Amino acid sequence: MFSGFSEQWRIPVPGTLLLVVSMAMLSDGWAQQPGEQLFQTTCVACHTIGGGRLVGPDLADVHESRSQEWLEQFVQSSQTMIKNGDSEAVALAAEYNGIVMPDALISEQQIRDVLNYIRVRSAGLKSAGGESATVAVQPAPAAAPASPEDIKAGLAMFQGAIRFENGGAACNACHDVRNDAVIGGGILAAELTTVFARMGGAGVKAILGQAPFPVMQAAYADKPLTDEEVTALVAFLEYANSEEYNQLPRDYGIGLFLSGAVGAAILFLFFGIFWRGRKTGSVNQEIYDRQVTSVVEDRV
Amino acid sequence: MDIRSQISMIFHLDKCIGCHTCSIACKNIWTDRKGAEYQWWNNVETKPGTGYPSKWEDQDIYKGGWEKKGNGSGDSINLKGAGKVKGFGNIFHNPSLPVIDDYYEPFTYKYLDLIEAKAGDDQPTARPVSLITGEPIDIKSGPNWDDDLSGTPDYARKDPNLENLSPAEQEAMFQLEKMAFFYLPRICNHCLNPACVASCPSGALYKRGEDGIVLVNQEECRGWRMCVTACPYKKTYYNWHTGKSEKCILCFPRIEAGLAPACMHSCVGRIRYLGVILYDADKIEQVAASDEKDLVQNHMDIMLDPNDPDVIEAAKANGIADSTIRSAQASPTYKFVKEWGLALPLHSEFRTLPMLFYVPPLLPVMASLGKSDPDQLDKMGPVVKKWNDDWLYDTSTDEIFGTLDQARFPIEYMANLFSAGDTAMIQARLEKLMAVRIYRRHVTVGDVSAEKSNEALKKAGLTAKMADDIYYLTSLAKFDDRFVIPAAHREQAIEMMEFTGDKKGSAGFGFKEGSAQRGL
Ligand code: SF4
Ligand code: SF4
Repeated sequence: MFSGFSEQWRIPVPGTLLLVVSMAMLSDGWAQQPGEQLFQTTCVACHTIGGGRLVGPDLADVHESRSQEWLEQFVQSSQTMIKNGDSEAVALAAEYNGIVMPDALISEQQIRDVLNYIRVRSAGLKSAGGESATVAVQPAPAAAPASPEDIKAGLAMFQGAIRFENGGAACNACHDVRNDAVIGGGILAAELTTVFARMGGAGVKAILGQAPFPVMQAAYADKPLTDEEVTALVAFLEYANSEEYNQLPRDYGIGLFLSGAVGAAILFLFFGIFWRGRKTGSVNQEIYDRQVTSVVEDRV
Repeated sequence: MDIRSQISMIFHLDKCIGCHTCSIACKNIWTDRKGAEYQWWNNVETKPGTGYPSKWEDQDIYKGGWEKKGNGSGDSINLKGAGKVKGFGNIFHNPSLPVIDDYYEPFTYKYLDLIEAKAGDDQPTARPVSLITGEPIDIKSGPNWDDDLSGTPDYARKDPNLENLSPAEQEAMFQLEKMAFFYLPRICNHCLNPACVASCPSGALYKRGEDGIVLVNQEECRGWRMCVTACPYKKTYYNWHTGKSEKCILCFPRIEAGLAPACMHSCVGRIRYLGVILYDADKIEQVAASDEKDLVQNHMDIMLDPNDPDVIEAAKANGIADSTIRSAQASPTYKFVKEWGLALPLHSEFRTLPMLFYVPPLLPVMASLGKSDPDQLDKMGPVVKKWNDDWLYDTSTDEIFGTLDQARFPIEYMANLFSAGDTAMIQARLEKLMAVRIYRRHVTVGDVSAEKSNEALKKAGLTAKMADDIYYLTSLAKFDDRFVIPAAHREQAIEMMEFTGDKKGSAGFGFKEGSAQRGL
């Protein structure tokens, strides 16, 4: 009965198309290289073009050492390639401490755009004479040694004792760090005790600023961390990494068992007192005990 | 005044023949399912006896009902075994629950073995198997295991109601010549102050506004079983299969259709009556917290006279339908409880204000018990029997109906059941029952003189008209006199919850749920 209604709202298809195209042209993405914006939002956390190694390799001239087809596949799902035993992909993962690249959640066309952008940018670098040229991203300058305040603030933020300014979830919702100061964290995402050693300060910082992992990206999409927060967290993770060797599990020996046994005894005593008036068994038990003499055997 | 209507029942114990037709009718309709095999929403137990589940009346064991601290009239009452604090403390371990052996483990027999057994030297047998585990069991107990077993040491003599009786009185009850028993049919009392409802942590139990039927919402129930502990009558049951509690629903689908509940409809002895009463809901708390000696009287006083213009006006103001008020005026419950003062609630000391009332049984008076006087022995007739040095069992009554003091059951026993220990209340009811019999004997047989009959009526506080009415409703009443069921007015109850206009235009053919749709 509502069909007549919706007909009034039908817009002719060509008109809609026109609208979409003109809106797209107005947006600033149109003005840039199509791949550039993508690179800036998604890849820069781990990669540079001519800026040296971050978490992942420097991508300048990558198309010279790998085929276009290989690159496309790798960006789409490096993990599939590793699983399928592609020797180059496996070697790469090994070189980068087993940190595999998250699968890209972008279309094939977008992958081609990004690769294209990398190629163009690499060429630009060469013509401008290597190092002196502007690169897409400079690796973060080596950080000053972390202050104890930063470490403390980072610890508090990690555990959610201090809220992130933009309301993002505390790290321990998903991550854990093995450290006496940390009460315990989630196991939904990677364990971060030695993340600093694996990825380096710059890598950690880049990831915190612009997460390349789809879940984390979604979680912090409109709640980005501020620069101070990132600094504090990096400081804390560096500290956690340096303390790692002090965090070996302690051996409590027989004490653990005994304290458990004593605890259980106290608990049972407490229950015994708390429920001392409880009803035990049937009110007719005495009758049954006396009357039921046969034993039911061979239960089938 | 906050007047509400309540469907309320009368069971006339003198008429119950202990046939269990009621229990079977109920079982066939409602509890013949997995998980409910052991449940008897309607059960008939032999008194004296421990009942079902065993010793349900002993709240030191089961911690049911309400208890009152202190003696003042303003004191409040608390649930004995449940409630907010106790319920929370015991939420994962409810310490006073009956176990399956307190009811009985339901069983069947492997009948197929009789047919399918291979040829052999022995007769095939059908072994009993548990309906819960499916494994062979030793039958320890069954429904009505102690049926008709007055005097048994294991059951009858462990009746919690014998508590206040002297050893001699107890002993006398069970002497072979004097042995007597009666039947106590029980269903959920649909109490005015239901402990089950108060105890539920999930809020799954509720008392229906329009007729006071107490129900468990199966969607809300989380199986905490606090109601099983809290109901002092042990009339909520846990279904081990569904993990939810269940109870008597007073056959509300039948009541809404104007039919009597199945147990009442099928009752062979026609002991059951059902009608609506009007009561003042504002008084519930105060009445439930009254002193034990006033409890029964206050309980009955909460019922209001449906012919009183003030009550009618207040009832109408509260939205009670005219048809319900008319039913209340014709209600057999009101007559038995208030007009004639014949019926009493069962164990009102549990303070749930049960809405099922019992006419206590006037067991035939046959003999009296007294201290024997050796000098008198010679003068007594040949029927006198002396069984020990102290006690005398005297069957030589010169009256057809004897006197109440010669009743076979000590009045205290009845008082423990029906009047929170007040013997005078029982006495008054039994006197009335007796007076009606004497009066009718005078009218029909004529061997009792008019003076004697009048004297009996006067003593009991009855008029000849009342006696005739009691006689009619007890002996001759037809279906519609026994069950005065008000129109349900479900439409109004539903309209309180949802807007029925939404459904208009979608009733008719071609749909199961929601609106009519075209197609397959
Ligand atoms: S008798 Fe019925 S209404 Fe009363 S407490 Fe028990 S279950 Fe609830
Ligand atoms: S059907 Fe009636 S007479 Fe028979 S046991 Fe039930 S209440 Fe008693």
